[in-house]
Amino acid sequence: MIRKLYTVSRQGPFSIALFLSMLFSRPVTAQVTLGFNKDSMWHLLVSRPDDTLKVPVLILLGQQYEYNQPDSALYYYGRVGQLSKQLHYPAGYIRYVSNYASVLNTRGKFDESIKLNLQAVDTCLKYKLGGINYVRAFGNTAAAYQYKGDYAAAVDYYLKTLPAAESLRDTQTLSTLYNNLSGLYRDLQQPEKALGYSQKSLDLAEKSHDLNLEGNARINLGNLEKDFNQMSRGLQNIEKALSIARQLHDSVMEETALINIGDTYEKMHDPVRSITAFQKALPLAEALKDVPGQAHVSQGLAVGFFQTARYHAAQSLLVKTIAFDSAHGEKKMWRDGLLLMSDVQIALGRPDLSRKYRDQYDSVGEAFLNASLLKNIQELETKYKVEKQQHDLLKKDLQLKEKDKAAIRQRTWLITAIVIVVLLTVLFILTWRFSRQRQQLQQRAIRTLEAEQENVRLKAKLEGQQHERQRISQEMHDDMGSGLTSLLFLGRSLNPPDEKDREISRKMQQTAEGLIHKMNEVIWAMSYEQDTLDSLVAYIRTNAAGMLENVGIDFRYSVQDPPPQMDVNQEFRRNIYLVVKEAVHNVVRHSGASIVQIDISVIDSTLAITIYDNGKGFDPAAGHRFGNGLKNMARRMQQVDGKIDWTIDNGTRLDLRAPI
Amino acid sequence: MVPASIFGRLYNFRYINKSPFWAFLYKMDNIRVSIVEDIPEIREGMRFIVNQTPDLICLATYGSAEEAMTGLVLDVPDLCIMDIALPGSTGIDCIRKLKAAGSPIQFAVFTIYENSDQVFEALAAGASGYLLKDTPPDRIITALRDLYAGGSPMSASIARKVVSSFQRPGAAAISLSTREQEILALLAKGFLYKEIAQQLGITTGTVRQHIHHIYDKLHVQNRTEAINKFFGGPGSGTPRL
Repeated sequence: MIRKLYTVSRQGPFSIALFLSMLFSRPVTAQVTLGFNKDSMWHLLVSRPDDTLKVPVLILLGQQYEYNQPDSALYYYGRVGQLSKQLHYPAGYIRYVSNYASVLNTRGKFDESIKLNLQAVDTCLKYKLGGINYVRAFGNTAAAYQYKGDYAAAVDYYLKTLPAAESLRDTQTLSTLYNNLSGLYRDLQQPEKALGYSQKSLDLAEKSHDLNLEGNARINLGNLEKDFNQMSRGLQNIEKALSIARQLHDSVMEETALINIGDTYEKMHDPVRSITAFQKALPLAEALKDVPGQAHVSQGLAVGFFQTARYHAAQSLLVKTIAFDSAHGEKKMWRDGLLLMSDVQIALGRPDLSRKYRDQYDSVGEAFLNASLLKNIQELETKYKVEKQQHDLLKKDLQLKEKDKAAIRQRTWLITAIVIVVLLTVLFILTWRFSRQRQQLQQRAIRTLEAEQENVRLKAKLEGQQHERQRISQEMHDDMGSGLTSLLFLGRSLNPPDEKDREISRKMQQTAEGLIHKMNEVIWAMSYEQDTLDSLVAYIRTNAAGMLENVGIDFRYSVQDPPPQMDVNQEFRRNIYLVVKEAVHNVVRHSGASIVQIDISVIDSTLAITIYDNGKGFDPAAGHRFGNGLKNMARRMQQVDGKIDWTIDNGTRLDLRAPI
Repeated sequence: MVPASIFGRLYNFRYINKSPFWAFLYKMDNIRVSIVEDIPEIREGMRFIVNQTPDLICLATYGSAEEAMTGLVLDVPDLCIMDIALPGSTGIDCIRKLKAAGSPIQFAVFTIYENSDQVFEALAAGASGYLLKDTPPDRIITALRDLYAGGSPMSASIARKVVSSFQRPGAAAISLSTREQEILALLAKGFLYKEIAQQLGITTGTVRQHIHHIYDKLHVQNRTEAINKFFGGPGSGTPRL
C-alpha cells in the first residue's frame, strides 16, 4: 500500500506532492488477487488458534480498515503486536511496528512513531534479524524521522538501510527507499542527489517492469524536476505516470499525477491548463476522500481562477475551501486560502473583507509559522550539518589527496636525491679510479724512469768501474810493468863476481819476476772481458799446467764438457784461481807426487773443483808448516761462500765448492 | 870488431831492403833481430840476451816507433821485438804500417800481459807472436827461434779472441781449416801445445805452425776488413776506384 504525503515547499506558496512511503510486506494488489475480504479474514481469525500465521491475517485485516477507519486498523495492528510478544515472534513484532507506526505518521504523531520504530530497531538488533525485517525496522525509523523533519537521523538510518535493501533484491522496498531518500535530499536542497535517487528508483521500476512502481517513480522524479525548474521534463514524467495510472485504473496515482500536473502548469504560469488538470483531479480526490488532496486541488483551482481573473469563481471556491481546510485541520492550505482570499477581495474591490481575511491569515499563520519556522530552522541546521559533514568529507578527501601528492612529491624528491647521490657516487668512483689509474700510470712511469735511471746509473757505475779497472790495469801494466821489467833486466845485467852478490842479483830477478807474475794475475782478475767461467777454467789450466810442466809432474785435467757459459765476477775468479794455484803450488813443493788430477765441473750453479795428487799427504790438523797457506785458502773460499775439504787417502784430495 | 854505428850508417846509406855485401860478417845463417823498446835498460838487456846467443844477432834497437819506421825499412831484420807502449806512435801502428807496406819482418809483440786487447790488436795488425817481458832469458831465445822457424805462441784468451774475430759477421772472406779450428778450440780451453799435439797426434812444432798460419789469416782478414772499411766493401756499394 502506498502512502503519500503532501509536504510543504518552502519555495512557493503552493505545496507540491511527494510520496513518502512506509515499507510494507505486500502491495495492495496482492491482497486483492488473493481474494481476501474482511469477513472471511474475520472468520479465519476466530477459527485459528494463536499462532504466527495469525499475524498476516491480522495485518491484512488492519490494512483493510486503515485507509478509512484508522482506529480499527490500529486495533488489529495492536493485536499483532500483542500476539507477536506473546509468541516471541520478532518478525511479527516488526510488522506490527511498521503498520502501526505508519498510521501514527498519517496522524502526525511522529514522536510516538519514532519511539515505536526504535523499539523495532532494538528488537531487530537484539534478535540479529536481517533481510526484510532489518530493512523495515531501519527504513521505517528513517521515514519516521523524515516525517518529523529530523533529517540528520533520517539520513543516518536510510544509509544504514540502503546496503541491506540493495542486497535484498526486493524491487519495491528498494524503490521506496530511493524515493524517500530522493525526497529527503530534495528537502535538503541537494538537487543532484535527489534527482539521482529518484532516477535510480525509476530505473529499478523500469527494469522490473512494475508499472505501479514506475508510475510512482515518475511522479516523484517529475515533481523533483519541477521543483528544480526542469519543467518540461517534469511534465513529461508526470504525464507518463498519468497514462500508467489510467492503464492500471489506479485512481490514487491518477489523482496525484493530475495534482502535480496542475501544480506544474501553475508554476509555468499556464493557469488554463492548470485549472483543467485540477478539475480532473477534484472528483478523484472527492471519491477517494483524500482530504489533503481535496484541499490542495481546491487551492490550486482557486489560484487558477485568480490568475485568470475569475475572481467571483475564486471567491466562491475559496469560501468552501477555507471551511474545508479549517474543518480538516489543513493549516497550511487554510492559511494559503485565507491569503488568496484576501487578494481576491482586493481584486473585487473589498478592502475591508480583504483586511479581515488578512487578519485571519495572520492569526492562523502565527500559530502555523511557529511550527513551520521550527521545522525550517531544523531543516537549515540539518542541511548545514550535512553540508558540513560533506565539507569535512571533501576536506578529508582533499587532505588525503594532498597527502598523496605530498607523498608522491616526497617520493619523487627522494628518488631524485637517490639517483643524484648514486650518480655522484658513480662519478666520484669513476673519477677516483681514473685519477688513481693515472696516478698509478704516472707512478709506474716514474718507477720505470727511475729504474731506467738506476740502470743507466748502474751501467755508468759499472762502466766507470770498468774504466777504473782498465785504467788501473793500464797503469799497472805500463808503469809498474815497465818498472819491474826494468828492474828485472837491471838485475840480469848485473854480473857480480862475488857469489853472495850473484845470489842477491838472482833473488832480485826472482822477486821482480814474481811481482810481474802477480801483477799479471791481478790484471787478469781485474779484466772485465775475462769475467767468464770459460776464462777461469782455461786460466787455471794454463797456469797449473805451466807450473807442473816445469817440475815434471804428470798433469791431468778434466772439465765438464761443454762448460756452461756463465759469468763469474772478478773476486770469485781471483779467489778460486789463487786457491787452485796455492793447492798446485803445495803439491809441487811438498807432496812429492808424480800425478796431479784436476777435475772441474758445475752442478746446480756450484763450481766444484777437485785436485787430487798421489803424494805423501799431510795432516791438516797438525799442518802448522803450511798453516798460513791453508788458512789463506780457507779464507779465500769463505770469501766466495764456498767450502774447502781435504781428504788424505793415498795422497791428497782437495775438494772446493763455490756457488757461482 | 867494427863499430856497429859505422857499419850501420853505411848500410843505411847504401842499401835498401837488400843484404849488404858484408852481410857475411853477421854470419849468414844468424837470425837478425831488431828491438823496439823505449826503456833503455830493457832495450839493452834484450840486446844483451840476443847477442849472447850464437845464432841470434841484434841488428838494431830503436827507442820509438818513429825511429823504427824508417830503421826497419832500411835495416830489415828477420825478427823484430816490438814494445807496444811507446812514446808517440804505438808499436801496433808501426807494425800495421810496415806490414801494409809489405815488410817481410816477423814481429813479436813485447808485452808484460799476454791477454790484453793491445796484444791481440798487434797480432791482428801483423804481428806473428808475442813475447812476455818476464820470460826468463833462455825462454826468450827459444821463443824467438820458434817464431823464426814459423811457430807462434797463443794464449787461451787470445785464441778465444781469434775465434770470435773469425766468427764476426762480415769476416767470412777467409775461413780457417778444420785443424786450425780444432787447435783454436783446444787453446781456448787452456790446453798446452804439448797437450794439443798429443791429442791431435801431431808434433808441437806443427801446432805452432798451424798457429802461425792462423795469425797470417788473421792479418789478411784484418787487412781485408780494413780495405772493406775504406772502400765500402763487397755488397755495400760500388767500390770507389
